[in-house]
Amino acid sequence: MLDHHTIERYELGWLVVAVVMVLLMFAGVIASMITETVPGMFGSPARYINPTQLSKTEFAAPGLKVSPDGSVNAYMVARAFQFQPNVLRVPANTPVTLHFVAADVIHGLMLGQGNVNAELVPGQVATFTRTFKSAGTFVSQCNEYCGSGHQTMSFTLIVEAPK
Amino acid sequence: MTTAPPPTVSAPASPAEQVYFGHPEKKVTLYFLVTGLLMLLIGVAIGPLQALNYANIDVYQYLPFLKSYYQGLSLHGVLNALVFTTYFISGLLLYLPCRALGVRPNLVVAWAAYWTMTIGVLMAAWAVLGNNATLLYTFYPPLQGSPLFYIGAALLVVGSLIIAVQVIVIWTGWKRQHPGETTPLVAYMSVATWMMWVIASLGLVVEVVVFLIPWSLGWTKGVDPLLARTLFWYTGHAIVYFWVLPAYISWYALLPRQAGGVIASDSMARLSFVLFLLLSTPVGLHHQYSDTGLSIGWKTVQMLLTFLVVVPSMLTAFSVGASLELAAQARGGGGYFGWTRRLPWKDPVFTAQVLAMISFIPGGAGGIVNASLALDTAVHNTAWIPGHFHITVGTATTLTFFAISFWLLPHLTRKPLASVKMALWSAWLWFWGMIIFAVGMHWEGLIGIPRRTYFAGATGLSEMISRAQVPLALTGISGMVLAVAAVLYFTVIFRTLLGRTRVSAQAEVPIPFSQSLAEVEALAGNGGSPKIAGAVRVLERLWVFFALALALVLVMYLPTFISLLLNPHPVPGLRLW
Repeated sequence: MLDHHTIERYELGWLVVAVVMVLLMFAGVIASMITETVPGMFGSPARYINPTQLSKTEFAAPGLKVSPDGSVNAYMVARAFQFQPNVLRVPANTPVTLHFVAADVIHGLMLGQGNVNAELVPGQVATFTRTFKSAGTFVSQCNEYCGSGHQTMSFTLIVEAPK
Repeated sequence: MTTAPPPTVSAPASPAEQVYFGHPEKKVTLYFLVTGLLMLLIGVAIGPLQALNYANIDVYQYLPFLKSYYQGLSLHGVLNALVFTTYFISGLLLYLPCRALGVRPNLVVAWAAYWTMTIGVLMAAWAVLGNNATLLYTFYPPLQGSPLFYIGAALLVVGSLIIAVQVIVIWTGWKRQHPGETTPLVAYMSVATWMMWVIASLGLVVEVVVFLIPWSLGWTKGVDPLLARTLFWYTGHAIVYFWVLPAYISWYALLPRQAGGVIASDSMARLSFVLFLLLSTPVGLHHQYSDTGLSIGWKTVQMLLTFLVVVPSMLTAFSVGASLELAAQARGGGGYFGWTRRLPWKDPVFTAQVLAMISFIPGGAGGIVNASLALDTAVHNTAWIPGHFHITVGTATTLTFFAISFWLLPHLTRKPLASVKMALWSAWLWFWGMIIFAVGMHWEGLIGIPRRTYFAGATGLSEMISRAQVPLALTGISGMVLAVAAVLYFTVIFRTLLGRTRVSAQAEVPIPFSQSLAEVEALAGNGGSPKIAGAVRVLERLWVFFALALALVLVMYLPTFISLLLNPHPVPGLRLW
């Protein structure tokens, strides 16, 4: 039978293994952040707008906007119990910047495409720039409980192939 | 069977009180445990309805007393995760350290804690049952519930803090009377757990008392939802260690004796609890990776600290595994894996705990995924997350508490366990039910199915549901398995509690405080290691580690809180259910 010195020696070895494993995992995540293997991990810069005065912002008329310089921005407002717009058409193979803001309570959205998962805290703008490669229709749903109509709050992203 | 009165002292008049004679704290402990289990019974009864929801079977429309799926989910989460655990832990971690130290707690204080909690729970229950706090157990503002809910939640936490302070005070008194002595392991771990909870509960207390109660009463116009979320998750992650550390105490310090062996390493057990005291709290930001408005820098630092909590968990796995192997060897087992056959699998106290540990292996691994900034985006707010916490708190903690109830209720009441066989069945079915549940939920999460969604009315899920038929069916089936497990478990518990037979004081189930291997060797004349003894002396200074833990939390959270408080964005409350 093992004595307690031997067990403690093994256990110290195991402690070292655990610490090394943790440091390797941390290094792995940092590496994927720096190289953007997983896009958007540095997140969007924090920006707050007053959710009761969205009419004075670019969210006044939600939807897709193409600027004269060719950059594509989409503005979405989440409020109980719908996304405005709830269907968004974006061109494939073009960088699109998506802006989300919640107007009343916390909502959330995960897009099946492009590693987007946002917790939409009222007024805190979430911004993601993504290039959607494959054309198709992707339906998702509000993913933070927001009240009795939470399950009816769906969002459709349609990625259109260039004509 | 007759009850033998304790020798030399006159027995009290009432036969029921006789059971608690000599240890009147048994009664308050029993009240904490049984009230907790009654809350669990209600919470668990709603569970199968939630599971059937995933299988697209809507039972809620037939239930007149529940207004919605979300009201049911609020009850399920609040009662199971918050109320049951707090009661059970308060009873357990009052009784065990007091018995280990040989000190009787102040019963007036203990009962005051019990009634504070109970009044709080009744207030909160009134609000939730009346559909006036359908907020789910995370109660994020701006969704605004009845003030009764928030006041009740605060009283629940206050009750647990009364017990925390009482145990810490008892321990410091014991230290004064026993200078130079090492705290018994169970008491040491209990004190470390309570110290951690004192630091960790601050976030919830401030959120509820400073912000939510005045706001729900209409005294303030708004609450900053991001600040509230940050305070909530400050406590909200550490609370999972408050749930799991009592299970660790049982695995480290009680299970070895229940398996017929000794604690493999006493000093490593103390080290892992000090690491939990230091690392449990300054990690809550990993629940907020998807919140814009918080700095990515602090999220990254807290990710490292979250990963580091893996270290004490790995130590626990090693140490407890070694203890079990020693126990099996003492029973004549051997070989690389063959020894496992010699363990007392017919004993539900043993088996339920080992199954709890096994569930914690995938549970912990999934936790690392959640803690990773790179992977969290793929699972945040999906069914993966409830899948994860049903094999951690729902199995590792709950099944261990089942095991504890199988010996502790007979110990406290001197009534034998009603049915060993039924207890064993309940443990195995709970384990497999939760494993099936977790497989289904993790799988659905990877497909993208959101958590907390009433499927019967969902408009955006049909495409995902068509790809998730198998896991959704698994979730539904697991709910049925768990329902059977719960019926068996509560049958055993109530038959035991309502049983008429009481064994004599001499035949009372003992508290299975285990000896450590080092102690056994010292008794055999091999001597202890001076180096290890030195480590234990350093670890004995829990107040120093408490101060360090507090300092670490301040460093990790103060900048975030200062910037949130300097730029407040209060919004009014809404009732949207």
